[in-house]
Amino acid sequence: MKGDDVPVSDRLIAFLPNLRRFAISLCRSRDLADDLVQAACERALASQDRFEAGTRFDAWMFRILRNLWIDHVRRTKTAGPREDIDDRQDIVGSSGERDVEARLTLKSVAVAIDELVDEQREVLLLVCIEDLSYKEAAEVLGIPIGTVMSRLARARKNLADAAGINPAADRSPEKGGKI
Amino acid sequence: MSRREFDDETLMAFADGELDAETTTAIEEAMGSDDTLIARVATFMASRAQASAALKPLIDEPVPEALTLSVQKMIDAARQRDNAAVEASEPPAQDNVVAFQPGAPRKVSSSWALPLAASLAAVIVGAGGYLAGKAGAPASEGFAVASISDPAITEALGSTASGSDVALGDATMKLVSSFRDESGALCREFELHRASKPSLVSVACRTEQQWDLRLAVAAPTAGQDYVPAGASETVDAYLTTIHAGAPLSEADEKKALGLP
Repeated sequence: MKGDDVPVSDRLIAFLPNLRRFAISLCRSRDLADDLVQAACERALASQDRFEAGTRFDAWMFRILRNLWIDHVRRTKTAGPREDIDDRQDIVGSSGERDVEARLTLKSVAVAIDELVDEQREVLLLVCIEDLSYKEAAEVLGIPIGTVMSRLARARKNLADAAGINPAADRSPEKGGKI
Repeated sequence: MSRREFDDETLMAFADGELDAETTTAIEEAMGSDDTLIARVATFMASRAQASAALKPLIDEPVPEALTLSVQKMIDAARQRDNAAVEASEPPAQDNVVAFQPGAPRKVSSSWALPLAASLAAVIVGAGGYLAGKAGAPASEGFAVASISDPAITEALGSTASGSDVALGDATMKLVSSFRDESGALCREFELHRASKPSLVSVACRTEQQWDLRLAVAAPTAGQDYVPAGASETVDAYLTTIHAGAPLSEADEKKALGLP
């Protein structure tokens, strides 16, 4: 009764590095990411009947993981912002100097990605890192393609500004919004 | 000929190769005489390439052995379950999961309900039990879900943002999230923590201004302050089976609930 091509259970292990990278960048914590990956795999296995053969397995997994993450955020959102500075430094693996340095010079691209607001970061991850199409990203995130595009464009402008990605030095100095 | 303006989204789609042929040609032509346009496109190309390069190391990082092992274990267990399910052809009748709605898609529910039954006394409510407005909720009679028909709960469903708690007598209702199901109906996940009674994790969906209880999972004797992981996993699995959309943002939720 299962799909006659490669079953979900046979793909999971090979996909762990991708899933984990997405999780780490999404929740900015390795410990949390591993829990999230585990929960996503569990859920994928429990509902593998729902996976439609011929559709992208990675997009399906990202969607499961991201929904679990949002759920987790909602569940734990008791008071105040949930961002944890230590967790975030864990991702970029840098020291406390980072913040000081960042104010003086341009940020590394990894830091700049890390500092994007969630809705911009997740769409950037899906399209630019994981190579999903706009349409596939829209499905993962449950938003219209137009929203994917506007968020993605803003994310990349912010990224370019923060990290100094600017091939043409004479570009007008207008800012796409400060982070 | 006047110069045609292209917005960021269009240029980004061009850089990503996601643009229709006609606009692609138009941009290519315009770039021939417009250095600013070239620079804008180049920035989008560079931001993608650099973002990709920046996170490349993460994928080369070895996956922790514990994680791989744990996932492998789940895979093995899932295969065993599949084999067992094929042999048994029908789910065992004595498990603790009660499906109230014969019309519910059986094949999806059994795939996740079976493994959970052993560790958790779960009460699954089908589409039959209304939260309010209807006389009684026959499906829930005699079960712990009876008190879920409290009108205060219905009111909270329609008026309280996710992430907040509502005190209902000696119980606390915790609104977890809002989302749309496959048919586009607004659904809400919530938890009910009650003194000296099992906590409930529930999903209700709104059809024609009526809140319709779709799922209630009881988590017996686990204390009042939290719902054990098994219960929320059941709900998660359920949400997957109904193709639940991503949780609504705060703004979208407000709009959906008609809140100011």
